[in-house]
Amino acid sequence: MGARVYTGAATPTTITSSITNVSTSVTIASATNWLTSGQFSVVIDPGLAGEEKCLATLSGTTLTFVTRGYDNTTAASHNSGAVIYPVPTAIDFSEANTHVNASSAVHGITGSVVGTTDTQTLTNKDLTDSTNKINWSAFAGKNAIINGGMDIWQRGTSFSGIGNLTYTADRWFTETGGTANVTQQTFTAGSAPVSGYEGTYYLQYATATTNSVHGIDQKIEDVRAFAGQTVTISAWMKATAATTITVIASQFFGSGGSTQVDAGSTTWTLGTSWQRYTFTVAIPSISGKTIGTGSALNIRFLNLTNASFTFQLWGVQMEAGSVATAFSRAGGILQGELAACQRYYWRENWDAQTTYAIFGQGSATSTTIAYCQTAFPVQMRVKPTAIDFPAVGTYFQCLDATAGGATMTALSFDVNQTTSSLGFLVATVASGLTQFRPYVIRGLNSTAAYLGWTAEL
Amino acid sequence: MIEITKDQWGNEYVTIENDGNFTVMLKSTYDAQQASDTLPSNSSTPQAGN
Repeated sequence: MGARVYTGAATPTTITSSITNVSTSVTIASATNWLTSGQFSVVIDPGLAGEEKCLATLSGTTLTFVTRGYDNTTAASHNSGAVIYPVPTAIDFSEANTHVNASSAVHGITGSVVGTTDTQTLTNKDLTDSTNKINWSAFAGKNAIINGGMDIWQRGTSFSGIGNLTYTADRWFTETGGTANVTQQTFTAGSAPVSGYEGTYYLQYATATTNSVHGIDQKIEDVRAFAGQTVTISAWMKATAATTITVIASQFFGSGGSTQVDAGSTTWTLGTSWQRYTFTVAIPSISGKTIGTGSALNIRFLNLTNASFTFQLWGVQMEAGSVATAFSRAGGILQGELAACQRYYWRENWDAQTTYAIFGQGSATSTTIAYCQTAFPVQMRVKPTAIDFPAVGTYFQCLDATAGGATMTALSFDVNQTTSSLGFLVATVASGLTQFRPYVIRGLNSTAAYLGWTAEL
Repeated sequence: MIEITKDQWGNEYVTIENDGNFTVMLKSTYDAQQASDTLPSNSSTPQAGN
């Protein structure tokens, strides 16, 4: 549909020579107020038997015909002196009406027109840049997998010979009948698999013993998560040699709850280069089920070959719907991701930056016992059920304001006085504390001193 | 190494040592974990170690 142009007050004139029905141009007597740019239609011999409309362009007084016999007229011969002037045609009005009624293939696009209030499905729309993709990375909460980008490793960066149900990178735990080596790996700058998203770390899982299922899982809190909905699981993976990963979404109904339901599974064949794999699965309704304590939707990445293998994992995402959108952290920014992880586990001095880290403060109740409190950086999922730490005799001491104190002999916590926001520690020394004097639990000149609080599912 | 202790309220705790690192948890939590720590099978639909 080519655009045509018109102007008002174009003076009727005449042609200065005769033309046949196939002539391609003619000179007109004058061009007062005629347009000299763009195409327009003219009528020759209006009202006469040979009336003809033509599509034309004008340069000076030379009219060049683009189409003869235009607008359902017939190309004909015209004598010198025949009247001619610009005139709109039925085609102009018809095209305008067609355009008004069109819902696609107008305004320079081939698809449908997008209405601001119409319910429509949009695909491949660019709201932020020229890559024709929506920049979803700005949105927290889309991804239900916490630490899918493997950014947070509070418990350490290398786990050798670990067995079943052992946490590694935050939120990720092993599922195996054997033992495995899980390590943090660092992307070489510019080598992360997603253009424009410079990932820092990825997880590597290697079998230490074979003849068993091997894999790594993450529990999404509360089995109500995505119940009755379709979700898409996606992950970037590769292996040192071709192998397979079976992805299973399992509904775990918690302690005292209904029997576990495997919602569905698929098997990905891994190559030796990073590739994004996706799995769309319908999570069953939980109608009629009994939900116990600590229920979860468990996303499992398992190798069922019973053979030796090593795979790498990064950019794990689970989202509502049947489309895998661009990867983003569950917590949005890095601090949000850390806070999301610390809802389940918090380790003081996990970054090993402090040689005399303080792990709690309180007072002595006797010459051998001090009760100390510590506030958690974020409220934990539930009141913590466990603490973990290195050898107390090597790494901890109870210290008062005069630098008096003693190396600790035991460390525990008091479940009756611990909340999801405040931990209550019980430090034991052989002797030397002064009753009612304030004390802190302090690292003993080592960055390796740490204290972890667990509220995992 | 596993050691069981009690606090002033009578709550029991289990202390587990593994390669020089220690975990202290409520004995009831430890018992629940042990009961549910079933290893996954080698079938095509292995059960989670929940």
